[in-house]
Amino acid sequence: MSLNRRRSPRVSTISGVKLPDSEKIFLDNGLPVTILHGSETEALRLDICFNVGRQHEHKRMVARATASMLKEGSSQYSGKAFAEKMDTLGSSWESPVQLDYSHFSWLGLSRFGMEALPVIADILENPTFPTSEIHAFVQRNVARLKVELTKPDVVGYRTFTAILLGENHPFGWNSNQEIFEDLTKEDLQKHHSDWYSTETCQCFLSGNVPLPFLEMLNKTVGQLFKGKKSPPSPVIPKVNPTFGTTEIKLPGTLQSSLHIGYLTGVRQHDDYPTLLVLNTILGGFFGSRLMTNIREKLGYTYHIQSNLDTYPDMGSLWINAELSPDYLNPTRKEIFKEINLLKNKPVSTSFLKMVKSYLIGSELNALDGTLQAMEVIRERAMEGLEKIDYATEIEKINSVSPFQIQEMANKYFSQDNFTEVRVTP
Amino acid sequence: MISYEKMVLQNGLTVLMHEDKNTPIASISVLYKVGSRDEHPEKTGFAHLFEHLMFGGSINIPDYDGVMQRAGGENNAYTNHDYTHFFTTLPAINIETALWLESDRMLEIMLQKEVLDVQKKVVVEEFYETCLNLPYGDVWHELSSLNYEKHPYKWPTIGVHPSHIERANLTDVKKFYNKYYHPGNAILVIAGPISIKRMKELAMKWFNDIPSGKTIKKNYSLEPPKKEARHKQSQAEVPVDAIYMTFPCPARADKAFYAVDLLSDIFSNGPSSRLIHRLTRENKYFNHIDCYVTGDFDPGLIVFEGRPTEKISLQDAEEIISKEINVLKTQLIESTELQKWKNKAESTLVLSEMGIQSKSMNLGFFEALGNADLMNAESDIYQSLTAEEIQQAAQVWLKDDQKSVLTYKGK
Repeated sequence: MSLNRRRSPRVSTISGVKLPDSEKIFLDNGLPVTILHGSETEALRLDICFNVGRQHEHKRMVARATASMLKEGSSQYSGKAFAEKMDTLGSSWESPVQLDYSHFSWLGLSRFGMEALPVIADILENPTFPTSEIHAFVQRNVARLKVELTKPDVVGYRTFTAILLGENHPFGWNSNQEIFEDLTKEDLQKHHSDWYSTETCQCFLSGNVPLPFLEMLNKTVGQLFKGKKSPPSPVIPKVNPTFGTTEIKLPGTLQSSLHIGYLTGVRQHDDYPTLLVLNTILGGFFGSRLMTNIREKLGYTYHIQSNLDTYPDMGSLWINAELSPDYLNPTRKEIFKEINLLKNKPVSTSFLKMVKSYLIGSELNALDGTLQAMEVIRERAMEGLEKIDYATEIEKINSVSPFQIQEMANKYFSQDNFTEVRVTP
Repeated sequence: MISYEKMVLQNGLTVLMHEDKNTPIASISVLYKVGSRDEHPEKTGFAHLFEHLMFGGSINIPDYDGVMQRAGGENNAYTNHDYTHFFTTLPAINIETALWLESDRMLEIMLQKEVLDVQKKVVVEEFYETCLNLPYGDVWHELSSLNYEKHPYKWPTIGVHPSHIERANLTDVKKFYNKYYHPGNAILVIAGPISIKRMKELAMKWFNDIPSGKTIKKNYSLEPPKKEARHKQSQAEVPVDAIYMTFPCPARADKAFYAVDLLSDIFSNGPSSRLIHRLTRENKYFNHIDCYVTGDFDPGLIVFEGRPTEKISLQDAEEIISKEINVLKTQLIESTELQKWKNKAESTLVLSEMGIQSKSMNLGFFEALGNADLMNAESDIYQSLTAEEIQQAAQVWLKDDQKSVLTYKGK
């Protein structure tokens, strides 16, 4: 019998998506460690996170500078010795930039892990913050900033967050040369001394975790910051949004950038799963309304998307595109057309079903491999979702109705309360 | 170590299969052995444009993305000098949908003028977004034309100019498809929590009846050695000074590649590496410095790129990098330092085997290179390198008269 290529193979609904079982232990100093075992390879990863970010700063940029500068030396190891040790063990030490927490990640092979621990523990507790390295950090960042500020998308996003959240909000202000140059060794010391403690810290361990490694973790990281307390967390000032359109000139740019966004709620809010589906429908994936219409039908842009940002005190949904200046106004018109369509008409059940399948598939995808799955667990913990069951959220996504999507669109896409930033030549 | 089985269908399609019981995800990747090196010099950017067209619907399935998304799949593709790689991950239970889609677009795609016209616009916008409107965004245009006069690596994958893409017509597109997108020029990799027996059945079911195409004779002009070093100062407006220094690099499948690759690690694969430690930390000569190899199928490039600090001129920057290169040529590397980079190479290889998609894509890549077994042999090759081999590689490949230097002067 010949093959009927027009008939689709049976597509099954994806069910039973759940986080792999992790284990939680506490070190001598009370530090919680979440562990996800997986011995498919020799890879081992240790993430150390401090719930300390821009909201805790006594001076702008000090949280990021402190996190970046820890590796530049401690009482027992110089910056050079630390770098040498990490490389000799074939491993890497990163401090990925986060706005609302400080994140350190050691990644290497299981058999080298034990040797890394005493060095890591020492730089976490006794950093020296050499002035010459702070100076180099400032110089590097000022040069990087000069480059970044020539990109319309970067200029657009910076302006957009400052206007939407307010320039005095910890997640609204933007870095500049003066802010970097104003940083001193004493600032970093104060920030570290105030906020790096057992109360703010948690660890995540994934991959091939041998028992002796756990013992060594307790002997090193498990002895840090004993008895040290942090002051109570500061109250985050209220967002102070400005709505309306702002145009920024970037002379010589060949492309324009467009940002349009709305304030939403925190990640823990009940609305989030529905909002996630709404965002996905609008511009969260290749088959979204914005991509299908504006890229695939009209060809106005290479990328257009909508995104959800979440912060400890609120969130935002924003759309952005980079495009030729000629397409700016037509694209803007199409974006509002799509937003209004979502407000005025329920999405079809078949389209919604496709979006849900895509979303659940990508959730499952994110759990492929032990280290990747741990990232999901870690991000949820850092977003304060430990009490919200993952499987329940997935179930919520699966049961969202077209009516709820429309309701959510009307709740957040207000006619007047949006912020728009256009960067043009 | 990645275990896999290989079969070749009668139409010439190579199929690699890897079973992994520990994941709920399956990964399907199809690599077509066609890249920008196969393009006509007047019609560059074509292979990449074509990659976009592969999502425009196939003969029996008009809506590629819709079907994929309904099955919970995510997919994407990229094109480089040497090949075009399409990859999908989806819940393993729906694996057959991905094979149905991939086989149908290998059988025949719907080439419609409307799809071509829209994708031409999209790719031109991509050209602006990723090259023309970014500071240093033209660097690969400059480096390619500075380094190659004969070999088709003389243009980057995105193409020489947006006008080449705007000129593409349906006849060219059809010819290109018929020539390159057929089973004999492709490698299919299936990976996931499915038995090899089942993978074989499914591959046979969906791919066996696709007609074979004509064997392609590939014959790329060899790039002759340079007569002398080349220098060029870019006219582009950029915010800060930058320098790019390149040397020829052995082809990816050449045994000599590994010593050169390790050389690049010695220079910059970590905070204690020579360039990063000595030139950004010990001496603050650069705000940023990096060294890497392109790893192309034909001889590619070893690239040094740096952004000097304000007090260092571009001329000084060139001298400083050259001095470090000379140290490696004249002094044998200590065994502890060499072992450090071997450890790092081992970690990198282990980490590249995390996740079903990267395993699947690696298998396809190495098979295209000649033999997927190479993927499992690489770790031993790196470990066997000696200090003498490293020094020799530096002397052979980092020759002064073979270098090209491209500089950008900041505003």
